[in-house]
Amino acid sequence: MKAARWLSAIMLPSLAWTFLKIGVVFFGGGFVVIPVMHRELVTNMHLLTDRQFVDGTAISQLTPGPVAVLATFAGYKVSGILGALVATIAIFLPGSLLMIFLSKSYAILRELDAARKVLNTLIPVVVGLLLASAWTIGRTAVTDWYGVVVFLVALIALVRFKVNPALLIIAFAVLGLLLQSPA
Amino acid sequence: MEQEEARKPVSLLDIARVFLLIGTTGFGGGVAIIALIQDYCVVRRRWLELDEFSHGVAFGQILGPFAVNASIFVGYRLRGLEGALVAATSFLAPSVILVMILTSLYLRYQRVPSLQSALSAIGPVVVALIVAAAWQMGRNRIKSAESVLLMLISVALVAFLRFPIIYILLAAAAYAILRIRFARGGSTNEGR
Repeated sequence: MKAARWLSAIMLPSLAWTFLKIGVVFFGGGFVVIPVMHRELVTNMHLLTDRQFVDGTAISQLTPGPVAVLATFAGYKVSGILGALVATIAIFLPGSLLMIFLSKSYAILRELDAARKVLNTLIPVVVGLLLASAWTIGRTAVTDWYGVVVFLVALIALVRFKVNPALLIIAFAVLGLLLQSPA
Repeated sequence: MEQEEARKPVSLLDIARVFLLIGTTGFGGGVAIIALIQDYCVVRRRWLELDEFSHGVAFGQILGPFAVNASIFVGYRLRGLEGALVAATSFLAPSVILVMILTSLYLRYQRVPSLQSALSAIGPVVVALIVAAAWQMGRNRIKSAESVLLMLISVALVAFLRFPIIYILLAAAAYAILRIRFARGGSTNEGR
């Protein structure tokens, strides 16, 4: 137990560094963080399994905060409360500093056009990143026809009817609970 | 300008109170939260002009988690660095605490069969959330053949070739900058 605690304290600097890096590429809308984090935490560092990543994303969507609070989940999983705080601060730090700088130099706001143009070209790429991670995650999260139906229903509910994601997650969790085979 | 001078400085406690409220009740994320911040800070309390707020939102939008960025912007305009810190922390604190509680429950009961079946039903919903985000982002902006091609290349590089994501983003940014330069260089057939 003591050894485990010591080990998790050792993880803190590397946790901070990992999430700072993620925080730097974190632009173009909250969800970019999904492909970046999936690659880093699941594929490269093996801190989370595919399944835990999906569950963590669901948990993050139950809160008013952005998807990036997925960092809180991952940090908690690795090093408890301290890890959660370190990861959260690290992931928000780079973007927040930049935002503070931009709020300060409010006048620069008008010269934003060039930046916006660059980002507009980036958008197809970011959309591609998102679809790629939907594909990667989908292979483990959608395993049967029921899953395909749930995916389609949820997609239509989100895109067409703008249903609140938190409500959708809770509704399908309850449904899953009710439909479970009594085996 | 005069109006700005006539304003009393907003206390940090007030900022904390408003953003804690938004951070606790703002379920639905993103745009819903921007609407809440606008309602509390611009409409009800008149802390900022709508114009100023919209600029801040536009800016925050291109930088990432824009509810957090909008909070930082409002906080900064009101009370500088301290205000920004108080606003962002207050906004995030309820979510972070909620995630910590849910995560500790999750890690403890992860293997309970009934929770398992509830969670496996959530998997496809999460995938739908990601696709919906992609859809909302790309719907109006991916129209040209070029943008479709960029999207497909990026899917292939990430999903199948497992290219490092950072390099892909950097390469795309470099391409975008070059393209703007090139377009400005006097070409007449500038395609959109």
